[in-house]
Amino acid sequence: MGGLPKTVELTIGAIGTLAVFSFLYKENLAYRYMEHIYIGLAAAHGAVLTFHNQLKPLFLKQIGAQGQYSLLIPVAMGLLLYLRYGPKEWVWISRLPMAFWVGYNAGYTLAYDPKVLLGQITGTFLKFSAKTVGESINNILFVLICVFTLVYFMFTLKREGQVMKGISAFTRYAFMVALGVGFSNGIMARVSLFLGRVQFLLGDWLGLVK
Amino acid sequence: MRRQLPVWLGFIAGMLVIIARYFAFPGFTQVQKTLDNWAMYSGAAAFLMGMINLTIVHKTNIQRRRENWGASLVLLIAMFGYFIYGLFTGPDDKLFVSIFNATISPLGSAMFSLLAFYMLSAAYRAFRMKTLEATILLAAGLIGILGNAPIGAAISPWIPSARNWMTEILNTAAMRAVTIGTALGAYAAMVRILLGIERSYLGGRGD
Repeated sequence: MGGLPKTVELTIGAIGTLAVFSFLYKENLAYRYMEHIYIGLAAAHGAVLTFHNQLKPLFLKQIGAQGQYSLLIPVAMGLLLYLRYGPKEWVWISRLPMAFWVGYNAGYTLAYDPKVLLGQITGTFLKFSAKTVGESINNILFVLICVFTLVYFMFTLKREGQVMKGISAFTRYAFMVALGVGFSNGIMARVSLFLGRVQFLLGDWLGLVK
Repeated sequence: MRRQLPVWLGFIAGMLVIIARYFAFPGFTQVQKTLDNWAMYSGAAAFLMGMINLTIVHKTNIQRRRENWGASLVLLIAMFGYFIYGLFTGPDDKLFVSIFNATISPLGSAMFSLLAFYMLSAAYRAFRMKTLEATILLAAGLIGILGNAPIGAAISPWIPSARNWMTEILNTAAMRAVTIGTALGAYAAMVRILLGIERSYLGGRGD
């Protein structure tokens, strides 16, 4: 079937966007309905993509054409999850696929993640004597802040003595700067998303901005 | 058995991945590949879980005529209509893609962009100059916001530079420490899961 005309597509998108933004004034029916439509469509979209991109090739190609019948085992295991909606005495069986996924992912994290983390740890210890004085100061600051932050969050260490108190104070101030700038980056990312929606409304939809 | 079997299954699955990674036993590369496929296809087989959960929740809303039950009805109609249509036509169908472009894509962006206002409102409350720490937070936040916008460079060229320096040195260093800390905590949690000490993910009542 052919798609919707571009104008209709844009108008529906614009009405939806305005309904979502109406929440900024107060909770209302337009927002509530649009939110529900979004959730429903997103859930269906995910299910359709999984079916066509994973399950269909699995059954038609790998199991049907190539005869890899062992792949029916994971499919059966995944189907066990639906038993949580079945009779009470069978509900525990739905824990099996969940346990498999959690165990597999725990093993995967322990097997593959430390390599990435070790790279980050070694990358933290930058050279104190760099090419320029400015770079050296930056490197020293970087190492100190990272190490002191780790020390600061070790709650088993008592904050007694001038050294520990000094480290605590320095870390607190450095951390406030880090949080402040991190928070501002987060805000600006959302603001740019908002500007994107305004451009969509005024530009793509109404054609007022080019 | 009802508690022990899932724990053992998780332990075996996790240990096989670890052994395949750290020990070069013959044939274990194939075991790893098989487990990867199993994880992927068993997850795919559970593709209806989200829709079933939504259906149960919203069916109850409609049956009990709870507040906004009409929205629940609209949700179910949209979900099943789009799902059945997509199931028969496929994800490349023009109308299927068109509905995505007209609804999911703009609504998703609009929902996330709403966060800008809530973050700003949270910032207004958090950034009050009551203590020295809050003042530093406010100053860093302001420089960060101004440095990210063209007005920052118009006021003074050092504002974007200061913002970049704070992001690259101070923020990266502090977040690196947080990453190291959370990763170590996550590893401890993973070991607890594999050994069956942590079982809350199984849910249920201890039977």
